[in-house]
Amino acid sequence: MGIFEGLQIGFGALASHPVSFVIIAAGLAAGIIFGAMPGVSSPMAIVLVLPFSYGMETSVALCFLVATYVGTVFGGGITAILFKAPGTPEASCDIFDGYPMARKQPERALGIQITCSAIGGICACLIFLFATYYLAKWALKFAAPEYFALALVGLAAVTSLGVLHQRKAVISCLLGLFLATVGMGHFAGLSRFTFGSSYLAAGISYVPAVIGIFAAAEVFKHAYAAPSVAILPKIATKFSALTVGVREVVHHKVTILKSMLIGTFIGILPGTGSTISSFIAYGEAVRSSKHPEKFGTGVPEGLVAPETANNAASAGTMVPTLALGIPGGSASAVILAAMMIYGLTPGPLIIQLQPKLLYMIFVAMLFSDVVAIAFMLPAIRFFSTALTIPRKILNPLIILLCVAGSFAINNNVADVLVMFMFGILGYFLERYGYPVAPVVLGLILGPIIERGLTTGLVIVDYNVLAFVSRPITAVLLVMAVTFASQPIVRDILKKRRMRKKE
Amino acid sequence: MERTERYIILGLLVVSGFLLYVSREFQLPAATGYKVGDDLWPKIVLTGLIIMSVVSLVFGWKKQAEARIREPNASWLRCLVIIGMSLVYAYSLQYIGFVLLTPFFIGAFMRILGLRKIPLLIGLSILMTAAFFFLFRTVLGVPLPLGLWYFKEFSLLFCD
Repeated sequence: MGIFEGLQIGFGALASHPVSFVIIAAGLAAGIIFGAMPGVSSPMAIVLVLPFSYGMETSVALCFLVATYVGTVFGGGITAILFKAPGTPEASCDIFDGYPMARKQPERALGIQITCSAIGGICACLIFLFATYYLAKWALKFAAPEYFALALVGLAAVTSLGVLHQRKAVISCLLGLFLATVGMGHFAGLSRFTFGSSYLAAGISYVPAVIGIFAAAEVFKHAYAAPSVAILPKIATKFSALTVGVREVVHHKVTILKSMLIGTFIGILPGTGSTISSFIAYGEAVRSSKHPEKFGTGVPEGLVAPETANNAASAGTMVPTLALGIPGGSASAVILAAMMIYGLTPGPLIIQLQPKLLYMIFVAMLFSDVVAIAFMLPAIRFFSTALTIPRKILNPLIILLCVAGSFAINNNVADVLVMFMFGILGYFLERYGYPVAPVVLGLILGPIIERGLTTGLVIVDYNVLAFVSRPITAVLLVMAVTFASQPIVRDILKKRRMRKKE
Repeated sequence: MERTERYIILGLLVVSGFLLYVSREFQLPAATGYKVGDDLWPKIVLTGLIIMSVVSLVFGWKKQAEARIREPNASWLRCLVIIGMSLVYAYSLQYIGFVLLTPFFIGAFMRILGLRKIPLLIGLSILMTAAFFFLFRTVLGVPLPLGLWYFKEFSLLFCD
């Protein structure tokens, strides 16, 4: 089935419910607002709007939920760029270059974010309209060893994240990997490093950790330095000012294309989600850059890559969810549960029996990506007013968002404590030059790697050679080794060149 | 490498060693027939941490620490007081509840950060708490900590 046929079927289905366009727009607006609030993650936002969808027709209700999801991915970047407090984990990577850029040119950073989000989402939707069936069939080939190797590629990207202090980046990453082992073991379910704590038995909750390490750490940093001047210049919220960033995107075609492909690839793999894709895309942007040392200071590629990738991946996560009945990420897991509430059974049968519904959902995502551009301007205006608030008022406000956001996930005060602990950890890591992003990446990838390694070894009967010689695994492992060794090789070559010059 | 960083790395080395020792407990008995268990991955990660800590100490020991630019208004005391206050707040939330505890926490926070006008400080503390309580509890339907005993009864006065 071609793109146009899919578009035709999807638009036809949507047009048969004219009110659906208004409902999609409402879902999108809710998603942008929730997405911009630190601590209100994509799945949580979908859960919060779920009760509103009960009175709707099934297909329209699903489009509403999907539009909310798209909105959260868009909105998450706003607070990540402006306040260094990612609204959603998917936007964590925006901080590295988006925040430093926003300190000098906020409208440029936001322009790039909006454009790349839209490009990533639209292109991925078009690809998936064409290739859903084939991609889903291919993704089924992934087993534990492939997941292990894929996660290793993600970790190898960490070494690129810390070009200047690779050793420190590796320590941060190992710290994240260790923290991910706390709680119930993935193989035999044994309790690990809990020291009798019932809270730790369930493992360290990822969202409070991310909120703490990024947002609370920043507040502590300001508490130490007490900047008396405004942190950011005032944003020109006129559309013309945002076009500075929009125009700039044209110069990064290759980064966009690569990030879109990475996002697409990662997105369709069940269980990976769009957060990993943004980190891998960022790592790849650093690796392939001619000036990797400038990353982290506000270079446009550092924002283009994660924003394109996370939007492409968010569309991608819907493929395994709809086609295989396996959620692509935590947000699509909520959508999967909602489908069951509506009496649908996601899986290969949906493609055969209800292709209309499938294409309608993808067209709803496409429509949301286009409409989101129009919605983002008022959203930015709303959030940018916060920039005029002095730090002595804004910091407690951010802390309150962190507290409410951490508590709301499990209604557990211990999550608030974990958030502050990670805030302290993030503050001290940053103070001594240890990048915090690898800690988060380690926390996300740790369980995937561990599951892949232990289950994979059992599958291949503990034959390590058989484990690494599986075709996809081998390719991914070679990629991981190449990524990890590149900064070292580059350093050696640089030193040689300098010696020759002398 | 700064002296404090050196101590932190040394601490990391000792803790990693201890945790590696603890991780032996997660090994599955040989009778199960499995050659891997819940101990495999933590052992790999902790060994990696030990190796990297040693590498950091060896290579960073003699390396001169970069000169740190001291900010004019920087204060360790302020930072530590805010960190301590945040931890006490997080711990006390379950007992005292969000409604009663947050205005005091926010007020103290703003005062430490330099907000001098008392009426503004009191007004903002109450306004922020009320706005968050309304947004999360009433609009989003997300519960916030109510506290225990009399504190809970007080918090319930503001619910519905």
